[in-house]
This record gives sequence, structure tokens and C-alpha cells, in this order.
Amino acid sequence: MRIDVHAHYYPTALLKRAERLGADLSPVRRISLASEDKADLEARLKMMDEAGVDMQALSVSSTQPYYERESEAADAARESNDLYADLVARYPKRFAAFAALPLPHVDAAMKEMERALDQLKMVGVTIGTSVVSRSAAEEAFEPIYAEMNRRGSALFVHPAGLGVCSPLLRDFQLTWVCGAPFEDTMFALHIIRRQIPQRYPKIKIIVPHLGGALPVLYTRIDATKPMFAAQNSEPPTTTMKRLWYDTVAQNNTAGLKCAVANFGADRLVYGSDYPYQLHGEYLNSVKYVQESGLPKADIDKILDQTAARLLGLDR
Amino acid sequence: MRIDVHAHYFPAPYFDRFSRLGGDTSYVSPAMLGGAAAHEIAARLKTMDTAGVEMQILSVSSMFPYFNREADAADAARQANDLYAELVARYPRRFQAFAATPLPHVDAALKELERALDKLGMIGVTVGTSVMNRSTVDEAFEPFYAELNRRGAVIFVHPVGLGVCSPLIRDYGLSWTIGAPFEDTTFVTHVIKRRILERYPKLKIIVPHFGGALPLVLDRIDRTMRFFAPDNTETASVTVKRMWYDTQVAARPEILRYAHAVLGAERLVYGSDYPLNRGDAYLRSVEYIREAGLPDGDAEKILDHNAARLLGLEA
Repeated sequence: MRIDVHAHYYPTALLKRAERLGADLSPVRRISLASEDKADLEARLKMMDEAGVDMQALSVSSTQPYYERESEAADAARESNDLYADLVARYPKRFAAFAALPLPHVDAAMKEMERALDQLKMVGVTIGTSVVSRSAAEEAFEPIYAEMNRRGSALFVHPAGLGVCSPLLRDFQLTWVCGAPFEDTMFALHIIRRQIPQRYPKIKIIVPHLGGALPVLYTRIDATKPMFAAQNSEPPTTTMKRLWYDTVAQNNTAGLKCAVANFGADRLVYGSDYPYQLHGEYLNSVKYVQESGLPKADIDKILDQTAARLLGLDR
Repeated sequence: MRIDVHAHYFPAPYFDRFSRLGGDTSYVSPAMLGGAAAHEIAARLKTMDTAGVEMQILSVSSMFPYFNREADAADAARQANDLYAELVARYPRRFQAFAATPLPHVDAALKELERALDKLGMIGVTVGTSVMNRSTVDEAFEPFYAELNRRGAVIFVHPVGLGVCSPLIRDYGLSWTIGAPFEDTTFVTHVIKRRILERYPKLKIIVPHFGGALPLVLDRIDRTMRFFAPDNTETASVTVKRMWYDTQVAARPEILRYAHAVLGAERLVYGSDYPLNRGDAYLRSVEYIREAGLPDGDAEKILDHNAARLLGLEA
């Protein structure tokens, strides 16, 4: 079963609310074929068919319901999850969805997680690489991880789109250029530093874009462990192998191979970044894995096996 | 001729001054033997001999004389360059040095540049990946690049260790683990965005650590050029091949092979990060290049030819 774990959906109502609440929608506005509109959905399903993708597991991308006012965050999360659940209910074999949480409000997030997973039957949770300018691995957020661990949930991570809160990225329009993969890398190191994968081993954490820069910084990260994770009992690269990584890497075959060499093929799952990869590019998101020269057994795992198991869709 | 382009030297008078002016020297310990004492120089030469390294090109690491007060910056730069030139004069066949300049003070930097290159005979300059929270290729620094271009100078870039000015990196002990390579990559994207090499084509820029995350994000940069560098006439993957990259990563053949595939053998030059890598790690910094299984002749280019040509030190 081919599942695309990195695909976004932008229902009109969600965008309207986000805009009203002052969110930066520039990365969303310039794209197409992502709404609930009938023509958009037909185009999406057609691309999935052409690429042999059975199902997309949808997420909100960087339009997370993270607002300072708890009621705004909670209402936005609820509406978002309802809109996603509604689409999933119409096409239960083609779409699943990750629940958005109204962070940084932990109680509201716990409540919405329960509703989204138990009542709406969502397939896991999505979280930003940071909660606005706070680390997503902050101690205050522990109850969220504890609850996901109890449930054995999948957790799909996505860049917050804030350029790691660096003016040297944001002021140079580099937020999505290299800011996003930097954010992926940073998130992984924040959770490694706090030993979240060891302490909550049942959460299936999926980091996008091959883990950002993790594959090339691999040994540097172990070599500098005393600087950021002195108390950890295992090398950071061992902890890295407790996570999963999606294959969104703009057809970067050498990068995919480097990630497989470092993490193992078992740790990679197919993702496309729909609707930022459309038509030929959507097709290529599968093809570059198929034509990577990796062993066939590895390609099958990456494209057609591991994600179903992570999301509990193989039963 | 085997030249190590990424090697540091920490003579006590400059180290102490930099420290006194509030600079971070915490990553250097006396045990590293990076200073000017006779036994330290002897240990350095012995290490170089063991690894077959004929010459190190010395630089200040992140201890740039970048200070708010022009006099502080200018005095510090002058002292650093004098100390480096003194060692080079004693061992002209074993050491050369990159000049430090007192940015952000452009006039003072131009003056010291002239003194260091013309009077002290230094082989090029070193710049930080940012200058006191400003981009190193800030428009205000244009005269500096114009002069370097006129001279066809080599510029050795080095991280400043400020975690790309991101609290999400700095506050989590990650400034060197991922912050430094992110700074390398950010520098490269700034050079691309400001079309520095189009305007100053004679600059020979060496970026450390394979450009940080560059191999992994280059395709992504190409595809997002229109958002951050819409006026550029060439793609990022063409521009990056107008620069050079050193091999200083915690040695891992997969990563070298990856950088080699993306950047090409012509663009890679050997670097060690001495004295942070010393003893066995220094030896490994050479050996892993030989053992990476690169196409015939490429390891020799990287280890023994490219840097000499770049620096004008060919026999």
C-alpha cells in the first residue's frame, strides 16, 4: 500500500481563519490544486493514481493553529481537524489525516488530541518544528508526548516556516529555501537532546526532507555530543535511528542514498510535499526513489510498506 | 603539495585579547596545543608530518576581530595578523596564513587588508559567516569585495559560532553542532542572493564543511530561486561551482562521496580543523579521503592539487 505521508490540504475556511488571525499565508497562497474544490480534488486523485499512490496522509503544513490566545488556537484546531476529517470521511480509502493541536496550550491540546484520534479517527498528530518561537520539545509539552506514547501514535513533524527564528534567514527570504530543512534538523536535535525518543519509544516520529541536514551532519553531531547532549547514554546517531524520515528531497538521489546509508532503509517513508510538487514533479517524487539504484527490497519498504505499519493501516 | 586549508592557530596574546573583549573562546582548551609555545609548534609539525601535510594555512577560527568599537577591532586585527605573520616567517614552507580584518569597519578593514597582503605577505583573508549579526555580504561591505576582487584574493570563510543568530539553536547548546554548518550554508545563499560572484568573478571563496548542509539543500535552493533571488541569471547549482569547499567533517566516506557527487572533485580542498582535530583524528582527516572510493585521481586532486593551484603555491 503506497502512502504519501507528506501531503497538504488547504480548505478555504481554514485559510480564511488563519488569515483573519494574522498568519503568514504567503507560502500557501502561491499554490493551486490544494482546496476542497471538486476540480482540485479530482486533479489530486488523478495525480495520485498516476503515481500509484493509494493514500495521502494529509497535514496542515505550516498553517498550524498556534496562537497565543487559547480560545483562538482551540477553535482553529477544531475547525481544521473537522475539515480534514470531513474529506477523509468522503474518501476513506484515499485520504487519512494528521490532527493539528492548539499549542502552546497543553490542556486544550490534550483535549483536541483525544477528540481527533478517538472521535474523528485521525491517523496521528502533526506538530511544527517549533511552536512559534518555543522549542517543540520543551518540558512544558511533555504531557503531549506522554499521551502520544501511551497511544503509540504517529507524529508527523513539519517546518514552522520561521527560518529557525533567524534574521539572517528570514530577512533574506531564505525561510523556505534553507530555513525549512534547518528547522527539521533542529527539531530532531531538540528531541534527541531531551531524550524524547528513548523516553517515549512508542511514538512514531516522522521528520520530513530526509531529516533536513542530518544525513550530512551525521558524524559531526556525534562528535559534538558533549556540547548539547552530554547526559545522554547513547550517541545521537543511535537516537536518530529511532525516528523515521520522509523522502521529500526534490529528487535528490545522492541525498536519499546518504540517508539510507546512515539511517537504514527501514527508517525512510515516501512523501511528496503535495501541492508543492504537482504533475510531473509529483510523479517524480515516486520515480526518483524507484530509479535510485537502491536494492528493490529497500525501495519496496520505502514506497509501499513502512508507512502503512507506522500509521496502523496495514491491519 | 598537500595543503591543509582549514587549520587554526591560537597565540596567547591574541587569544587573551579576544577573550577580554568578550569573545567566546570556550571551545579551545590548552590541551589542544594550538598556541605558539615551542612544544606546541613541535607537536603541530609532527602531526602534519604524520599525515603527509606539507603546509597549513592558518586562520583565527571564529575568533574574528569583529567589535563595535573601531579601535578595538583594528588593534585586534593588527595583532592577530602580526602574530600569524611571525610564525609564517619562521616556517615559510610549513605555514601560511589568512588575514583577519576589522569588519564591520570597512575603511579600517581595507587598510588592514592592504597591510596584511602587501606588507606581511599573507596569502588571503578569512571572513566570518556573519559580521556582528549582519550578513557578511551586506551592501555596506561592497568596497571590501571590490578590493579583494581586484587582487583575485582567496577568502577563507569560517562559522562565527552564533547559531545563525537563532535562539532555537544557541539556547540549546547547538551553535557548533548544527549552527556552524547552517552558517556555512547561509553564507553561500547570501553570496548567491547578492550575486557577489557575478560582480566579483575573481574572488576565490573557500567555504568549510562542504558548505554545511549545502549538498542536501542545493536542489531545493535551485527550485526556490525565484522566491529569494529572482534576478539571478544562473541557477544556484551553477553559482556554487564558482566556489571551493573544504573536506572538514567528522570523517565519513559516505558524506564525502555525496559532496563529491554534488559539487565535483575540482571544487573540494583538504581541510582538517586542527587543533580541534588532532592526533588520530588529524590522520583520519586525510585517510578518509583516500579510502572513500572516489574515481581515480580525484582523491589526489582533493588532497594534493586543488588547494595549491587555488592559492598560487604550485611548484
